[in-house]
Amino acid sequence: MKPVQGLTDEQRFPLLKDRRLLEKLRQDECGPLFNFGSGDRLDAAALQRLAAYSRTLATKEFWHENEQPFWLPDYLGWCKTTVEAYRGCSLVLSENQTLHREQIAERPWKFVSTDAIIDEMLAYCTSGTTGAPMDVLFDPVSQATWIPQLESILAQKNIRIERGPDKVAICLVCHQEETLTYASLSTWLDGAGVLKINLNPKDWKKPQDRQTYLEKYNPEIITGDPFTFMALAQLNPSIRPKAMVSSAMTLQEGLRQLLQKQFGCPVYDLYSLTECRMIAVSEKPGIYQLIRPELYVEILHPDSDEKVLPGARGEITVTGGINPFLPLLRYRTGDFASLEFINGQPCLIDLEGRSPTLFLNQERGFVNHVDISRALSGFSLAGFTLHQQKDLSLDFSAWGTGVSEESLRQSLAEIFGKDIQMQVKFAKELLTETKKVKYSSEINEMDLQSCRR
Amino acid sequence: MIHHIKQCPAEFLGQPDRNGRSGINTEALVNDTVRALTGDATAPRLIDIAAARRSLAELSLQQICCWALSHPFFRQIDSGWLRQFFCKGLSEVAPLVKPEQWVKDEERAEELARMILSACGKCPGGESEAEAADRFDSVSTVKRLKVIEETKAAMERAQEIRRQMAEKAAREAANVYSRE
Amino acid sequence: MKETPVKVTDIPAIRDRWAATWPEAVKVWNPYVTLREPEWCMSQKMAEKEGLTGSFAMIRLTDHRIVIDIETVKDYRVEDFALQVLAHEIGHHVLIPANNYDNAGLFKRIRIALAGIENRAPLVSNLYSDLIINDTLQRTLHLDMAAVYRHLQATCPVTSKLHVWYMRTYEYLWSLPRGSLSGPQQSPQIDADASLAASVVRSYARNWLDGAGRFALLAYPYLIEDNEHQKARNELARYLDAEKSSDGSDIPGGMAEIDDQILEGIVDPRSEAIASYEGKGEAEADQPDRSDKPELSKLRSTTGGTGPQQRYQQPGVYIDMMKQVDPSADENKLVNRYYRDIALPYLVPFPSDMTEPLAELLPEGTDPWEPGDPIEELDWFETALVSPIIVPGITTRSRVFSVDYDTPEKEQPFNLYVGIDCSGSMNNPRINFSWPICAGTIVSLSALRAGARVMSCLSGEPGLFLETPGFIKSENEVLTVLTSYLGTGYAYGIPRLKSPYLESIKGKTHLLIVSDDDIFSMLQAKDSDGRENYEIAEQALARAGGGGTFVLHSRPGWHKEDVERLQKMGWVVHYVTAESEMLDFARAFADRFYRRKGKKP
Repeated sequence: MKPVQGLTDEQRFPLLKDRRLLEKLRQDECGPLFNFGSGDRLDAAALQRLAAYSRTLATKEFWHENEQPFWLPDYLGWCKTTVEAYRGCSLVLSENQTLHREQIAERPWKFVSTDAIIDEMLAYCTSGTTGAPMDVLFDPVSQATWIPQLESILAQKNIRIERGPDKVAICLVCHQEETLTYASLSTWLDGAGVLKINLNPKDWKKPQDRQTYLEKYNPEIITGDPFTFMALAQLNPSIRPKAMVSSAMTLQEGLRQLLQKQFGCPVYDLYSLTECRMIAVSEKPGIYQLIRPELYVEILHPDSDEKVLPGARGEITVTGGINPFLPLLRYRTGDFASLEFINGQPCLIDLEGRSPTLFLNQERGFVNHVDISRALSGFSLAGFTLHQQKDLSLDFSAWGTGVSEESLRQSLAEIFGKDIQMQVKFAKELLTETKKVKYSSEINEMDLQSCRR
Repeated sequence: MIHHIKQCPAEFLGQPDRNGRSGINTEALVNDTVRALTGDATAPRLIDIAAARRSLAELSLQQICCWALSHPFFRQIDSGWLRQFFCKGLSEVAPLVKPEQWVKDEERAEELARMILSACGKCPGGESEAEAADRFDSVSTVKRLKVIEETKAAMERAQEIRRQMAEKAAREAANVYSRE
Repeated sequence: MKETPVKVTDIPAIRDRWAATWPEAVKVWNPYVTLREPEWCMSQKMAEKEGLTGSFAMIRLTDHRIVIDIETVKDYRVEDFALQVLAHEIGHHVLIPANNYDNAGLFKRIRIALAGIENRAPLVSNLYSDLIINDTLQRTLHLDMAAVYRHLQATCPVTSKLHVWYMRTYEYLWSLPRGSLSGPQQSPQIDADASLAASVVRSYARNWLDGAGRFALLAYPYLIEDNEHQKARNELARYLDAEKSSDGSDIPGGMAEIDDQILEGIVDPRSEAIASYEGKGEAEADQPDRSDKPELSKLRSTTGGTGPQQRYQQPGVYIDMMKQVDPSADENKLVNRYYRDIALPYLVPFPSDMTEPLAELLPEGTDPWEPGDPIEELDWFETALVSPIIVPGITTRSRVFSVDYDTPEKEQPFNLYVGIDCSGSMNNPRINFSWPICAGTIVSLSALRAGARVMSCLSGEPGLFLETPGFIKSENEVLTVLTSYLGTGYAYGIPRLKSPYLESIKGKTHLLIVSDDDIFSMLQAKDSDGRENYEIAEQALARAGGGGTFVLHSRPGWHKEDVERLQKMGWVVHYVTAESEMLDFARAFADRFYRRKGKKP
């Protein structure tokens, strides 16, 4: 389901009375054509909970090697008594079956703790490269923990995010055909600005407004994915962020160094999932430090619910978190790594599974798969697979009812260009139990070197 | 039989008299019925239903049963089951149904017919014992309400979450600070 | 049932047999029903062209037709059930949903009950209608519908929970053996819910609109998962004959409003079943039913009541609903209809007392009149010409008048220019109810009724603006501009008042600008020659000759000097501190300028 705007600014920022920065950001002459509104929705009680959580991060007491975290028995007991889906779970973690994305996607309401207050519920629809869209439920506090989590990372280098209503603290930069964009504020940062913008010139009154706007507000933290950062580097606005945070797919070391040099700040690669948000962060190739002591990580065999030998590779599986709308119990992330303790800190080594699936349009321009899933979500497909071959031709198979093949072709042609070769196979629905969506591509980053966008 | 129950005259639906004030003397009615069925017209009080300890709903249902038992079928069979039926057979279900529903609603009339037939150990024409048991089971008010009570809370919470998931307020979500 | 397979060449024979059965099927209901013979499609391809896929029959309320796909009839081997199938389809026309207006009402109720999973409404509505019709045919009109279902279910997988529950409901209604239609996947919960559904169908056969919400709430748990919904749709596809019955129809009026009577029917029969015995056993006759009904206020808040008295659905919800009722409905027309419906009670009355002075009010033609339109707009003569039988919304017409403007000696109402701020701080009126747009609709429609010409303009500047091509009389065009959305810039762009249309228009014009505090920054802004926009405002006002009003969402006292400057020019500045006050302003404004009582403003 598409997100909709449904709130007033009072509801978006119950505690922020001074919203002049917000108006300024929204109505700036060189600002983008924002298409959405958003807030952090923190009220006094929520802010207190967030502060309490932030304090636990400051001490950062992780579990020790070959031990389980002290909080685990209580957590399992709480799951058992308050979460319908975990009613029959065992109080011994290893005796529990692992949990897959599809199980949550089909009936997310079964994973909501009875402690959760339904009126505080927020929903976010995520689409991945391997799974069907899924609604993730959460609350304002679990969402806002991102900032204290980042602060705890930055604190290791003595970097501090400024507070107060004079600066833009965080700017999430996107680079795609279409995405939600908004200006917002952070209650946790005492009213500092938060932006989500799209570098696509279509979103701006004039292309050069992109530099002007970024330079004018000079955000302290820039976040985005590697492709966007590549585009940002080309655009080359003269901004001085305190740090850049890349996520969504692996940041290659070459790009990291380029960004560090060009923008003169540390560049972090964040490992995070919509289902639980931040997990680990990396400053150097191959080593991702875990960030959250309340999110226990196990490495399991891909085919059995057993732990691998210490130090061996396996599937990253998480338990815990602070989201009462989706407490996780041995949730399989679909990503692979090994776990090592370095100076007592648990770290993921050789994390993989996040290499991006690359698509190119007929001009060899980069196509974000998010744009494809957005276009296809308009059809009531039961599932589809999309594969791009080296020569850019597409193989598309879909199944569903009441869909015209012609309009599917048209939709793909709008994204990839009308002359792109494509083979479309369309079947009336076979009664499949789960929706299936799969993107694959023979394009790799080498092909991308030669392309510009 | 169902047809017969739905023909129940208004007199049988009258307010039962529990405290010796006005209304129908349920106990007298029950005993009249029992006398008629046992064929012993002069027998003294056969069943003490202890009206004071029973709910009005149960007394009403007993009255309706008296009408149902006036069906000619019951004169042809043994009457040993009646005491048990009147004393114990109705107390659980009676408070769950408004008395007039037993004669107005098709399904409740069927339930009552099956309840009586099951109490006297007979099967409706053409049904096997297992079939009759299943049919009785499927119209049983006691069972239906038990199922509803057991499942209702979880169902309502699931629906509330589903509703909220579609609400605009939830859909606007909250600030996203990085890509996932 | 014949066991010998029918050959392909038998399709015309089947058609002949079905056509011969048609009069008999009509008679089942009422020999006086006038319905045209169904459209017989001899192949699935032909049926597809008519919009019929998946099932062998469908109905269209738009042109009161039934469509039968003979090839699919043959595939499903229902050729021997002509009477039942045709009588069933006729039931959709004469009993439920019967017409576009009630069809939309049915959808509205079901959607409120299916909050969160509204996209299931067409399916649920079709199933509910079928139950009502089939039960009437089977038990009241003594047609053997059970035979059709036994036949069709014998070849159909029954795995989705909704499907099992739905068929089990028929078993309850018609005392059929367990599983004879509903297959082997039984459960006590399905039994309980089917028993309640049967009771709803029996109790609400006549007032079926009141039972719709109850039925939908019973269906809810079986449809809560997307996969289950999809599975149910696939399995039940052969029965879905009325999901798109209003396709291509006119938009029925009054659908944006949700009144208490509707909300009273959104009750879960499970709760009713439990409530009916709680505290029971004692003196039940004396106690009125308590706790049967959920609090209306709570329901109202979950249905998101908005607008005047919070009685209306949000426009986004309304559009979504109406597109479900009629998938081909035009979004512009829907959103116009939405604001028009809300504005209707606040419009000045039609100029009915002007027969003499308005000899130049010329009849121009007719439009459909629909339930919800003001009754005084109904033209009985034209309606009678369409059909001697009055079907509201279908045969009813309203007259459209035009005013002859070339009679200078008669005084004309002022033209109206409505300029509305559509900058980033405004809500999108297609998603959320917008008070400024509602107010704009009221004044514009009142002006048009009074015979004035209207020009509307949305502006969010710097950035974009959108305006009608001059002063016009088309309600639809005026509203289409108002209900669009820009979301750029910070205020209404004062340079819009330099429009050439404002210079060339005949007669006097009143200027009405709706904006907020930011308009003062706009007024102070200078053009390339260094002239302030204040000058444009002043000149436009002088040229318009009918006065001008700024309605500002602000507080009296703010920007005092700027306001004085405007007032000196002759502008009236009206403040609203809460957006809902726009409604009062619009009523007063329309009343002052466009209510005709022989006097001129």
